[in-house]
Amino acid sequence: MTVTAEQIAAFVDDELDATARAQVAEAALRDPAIAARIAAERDLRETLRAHFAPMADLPVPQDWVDTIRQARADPVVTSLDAMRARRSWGRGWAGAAMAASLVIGVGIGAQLHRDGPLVAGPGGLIAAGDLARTLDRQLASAQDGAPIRILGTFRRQGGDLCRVFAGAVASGIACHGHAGWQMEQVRPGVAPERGAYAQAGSGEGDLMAAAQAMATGDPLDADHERTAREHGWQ
Amino acid sequence: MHPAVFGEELVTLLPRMRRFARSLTRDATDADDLCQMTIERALKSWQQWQGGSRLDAWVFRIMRNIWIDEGRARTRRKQTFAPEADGDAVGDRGDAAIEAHAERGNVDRAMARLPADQREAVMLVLVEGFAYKEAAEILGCPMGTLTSRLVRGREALLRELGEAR
Repeated sequence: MTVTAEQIAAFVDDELDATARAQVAEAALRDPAIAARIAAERDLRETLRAHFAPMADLPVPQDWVDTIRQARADPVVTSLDAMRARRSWGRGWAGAAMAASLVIGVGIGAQLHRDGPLVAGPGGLIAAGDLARTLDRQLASAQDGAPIRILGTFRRQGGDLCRVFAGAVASGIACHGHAGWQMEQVRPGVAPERGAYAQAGSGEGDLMAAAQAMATGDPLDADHERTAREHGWQ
Repeated sequence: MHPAVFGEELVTLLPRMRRFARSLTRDATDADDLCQMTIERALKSWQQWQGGSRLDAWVFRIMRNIWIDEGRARTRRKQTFAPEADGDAVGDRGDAAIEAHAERGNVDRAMARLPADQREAVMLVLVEGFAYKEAAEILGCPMGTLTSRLVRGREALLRELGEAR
């Protein structure tokens, strides 16, 4: 053979540059043994791929998925979906992660309760008072000086309308359902003494990234947002 | 990258992680333990992941390092990593199915006979489709080492599977 086994392997694996490729191809044209070896290597790769492919289609334990989806929240975030899921779990190997999230959840709950923008609903926390009014009425396009700012409105999978808000007591993402505005993400708000919400900083960026991950398509523009309000956020 | 996005990308990798874990451990239970440890480690250190590089390569490297740390000695049970159901009811199948089944068993046996370093090289490049450079990074070895393991692994597989045909 005029080419090495390494070169043949690299040829089959598409790891050669154009010049080296041409050399191997030329050698294969001259020497049937090289051509046969290339064919055998290709067959081997196809055999292995086909053999192991079904394994990548097998379902994985739901525990793993749950653990990842729960842990993804950074320490000041709590996901109501995750809380609901946790309730139905029973004991899993993710116990430690669950306990950690619960502590965070309780902390935020106490803080929110004091100021009362949220009430416990059938499936989690529901917006109340000023927050509910803001979510119902305020448009992202017209909110100069409002105490709670709407950062955006979007549709999530399944079609519910969701709004990202930032206020002194809480920031978060609320989605409209039959019980009202249900909290999907809740974070501590921007303290009033920190001044203008417009410069609230990294927390908002995070929230928008979370919204982006939940959203299907782009956020609603001013016209669509107004229309959505007229239709009761359905 | 936002943690939520990282999480979803990790979720999509899980089946492949499990497949690689099985090739490392050759035991379904050990493989699942290894996957869980890898998930925990990845969640803990995801901020160290460089967004530009492939997440799968990063996760596979974590997994492989855990496996090395745990010590390969843990598993000397030499089990084939074919699903157990593969051994069922061969007699009920048609000729083609029996042949396909025999082929499956041959591949598993041939893979199981490879030295571990050759098997990982074969899995990463031929099955997982990593480039040589990525595979060498996952394994923490020079490219030359990777390619020579790959060539030896392939030759052994060609010999075994060629005879079996």
